[in-house]
Amino acid sequence: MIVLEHASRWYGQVIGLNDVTCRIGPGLTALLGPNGAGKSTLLKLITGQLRPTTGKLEVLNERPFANPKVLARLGYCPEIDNFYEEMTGREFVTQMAALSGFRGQERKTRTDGAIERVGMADRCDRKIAGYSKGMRQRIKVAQAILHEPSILVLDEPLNGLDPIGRQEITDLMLSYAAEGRCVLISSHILYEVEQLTRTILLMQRGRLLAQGAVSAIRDLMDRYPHRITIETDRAREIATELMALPSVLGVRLDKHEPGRVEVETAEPDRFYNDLPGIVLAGGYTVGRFEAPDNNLETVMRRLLDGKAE
Amino acid sequence: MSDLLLLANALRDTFRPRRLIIALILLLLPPVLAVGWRLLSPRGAFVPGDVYDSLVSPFVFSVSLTILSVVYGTGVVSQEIEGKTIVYLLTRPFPRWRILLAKFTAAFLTVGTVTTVSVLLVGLALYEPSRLAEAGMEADIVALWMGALTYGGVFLLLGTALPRPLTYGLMFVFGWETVVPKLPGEFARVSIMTYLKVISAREITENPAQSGGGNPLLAFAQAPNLEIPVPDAWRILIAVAVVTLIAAHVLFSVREYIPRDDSE
Repeated sequence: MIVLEHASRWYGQVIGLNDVTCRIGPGLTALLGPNGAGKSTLLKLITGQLRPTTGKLEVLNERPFANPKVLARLGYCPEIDNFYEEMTGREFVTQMAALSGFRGQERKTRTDGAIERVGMADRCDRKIAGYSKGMRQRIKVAQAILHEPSILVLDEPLNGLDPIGRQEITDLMLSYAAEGRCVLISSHILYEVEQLTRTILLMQRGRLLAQGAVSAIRDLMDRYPHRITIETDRAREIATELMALPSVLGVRLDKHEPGRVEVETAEPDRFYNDLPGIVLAGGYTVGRFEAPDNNLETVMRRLLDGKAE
Repeated sequence: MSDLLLLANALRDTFRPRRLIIALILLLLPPVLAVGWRLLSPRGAFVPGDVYDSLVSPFVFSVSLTILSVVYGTGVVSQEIEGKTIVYLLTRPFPRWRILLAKFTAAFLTVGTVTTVSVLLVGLALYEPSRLAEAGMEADIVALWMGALTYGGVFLLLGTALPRPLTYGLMFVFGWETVVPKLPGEFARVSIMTYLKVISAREITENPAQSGGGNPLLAFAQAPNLEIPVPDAWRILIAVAVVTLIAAHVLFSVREYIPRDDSE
């Protein structure tokens, strides 16, 4: 649905997006990276607000910049918290419906449906100026989905939402993705992305560092040490046995917590295969097992630090 | 229908408090001055025509029309950029030129209406209702609407093309449009106000240049001594309006509009 080939975007002398090549298909894809990574630039290119300086960008087989054909099938929820403050939520969504080409009863139906879907039906006739952050976020999502787009692009969509709101918007995004639409969300909060998808685009300083499933990215990291912490009743003994494993690079005993062993491995999958055998054969009691490097946050941090390149 | 909704929302937007205050001040200043002039003039020395000419040209044309045109004309785009709401407009499958046209129409109607009401109030303040026709307001009102269109086009173009268009617009009004008509020779021909004065076709009863400056405000009201035929003035004003409006709409359709601090 979305194809970028060596796409770059410069703002004068500053590069916002640097030679990005990727394809984004149906389902939910997360765009991850710290502030200034180029996420918003990429989203602005996809949503037809900017043109790439070099390279190719196609959305639904068309160039998206100011292209009504693309924009008719694309919904965009920007990160900004700016609105026409004097309008009510309903008036705002109605205007967006009008700009999407809906008229009369169809416009009203679309507006009401979108407002209902984001849980704002009872508050949509109040002025936006009086909305909480969460209500503003919901209205932004409403204007993005009112035309049932094939591609839904959301820039930090869960910002400012309360737990119920997060769940509702998350469910909405997942239901869109399940219907075979392309849902692209950007975020710098990793735990919320982990709950949504395993397919990510990882960005830093305008470059695409990694693309694909989180597991694939983790494989990329397997060349680099992972830390695994085990708490057991006989730390020194298990440490000796673990040192003998070819997948283990080093073992460290914690002076302050005598039952704690920290293992460093470059082949985590192989280590995880070997570990149960050692534990069972030795009759060790494992109180706690942690793999702090095995979550998305660590994957991202390490890649961003350049250790996995 | 979508255009009308956009127009209605844009019109409503012109009543934002800050803009409304500016519009009200500019609308009411000339009639208030007219009332004061009438009340303070010695009996027998009050000539409504002179006072009308002294107020309408220097205040309504040179101040209200130009300032309102700058504020509303440049604001069509810059307000959306500064408020960062332009993103909502540009990510919809609606032709950009129609968005601009709807919003410009709102600005044009506002400027035209405010200046027209201002002139009408000046006339009502100075003339007896039975002698209102003597004021010759029709020509002024037509010229004001034409001015709203021409200045509006120029400032809309500034707004679509430049950052900080309000600054450039005010420089144009208080620099170019004020100084250029007073330069010797034919310089006045490159001022929009020159042609507006020609089409308003005002006959000045007192000429300050000849009378030694009895009423300096009347100098503002006079058309420059350039012998510009009225049809030519119309053609030039229409040409400027059409060219600037088309240029603004083309530019708005092809340009990227991203608030600077929004770029990563």
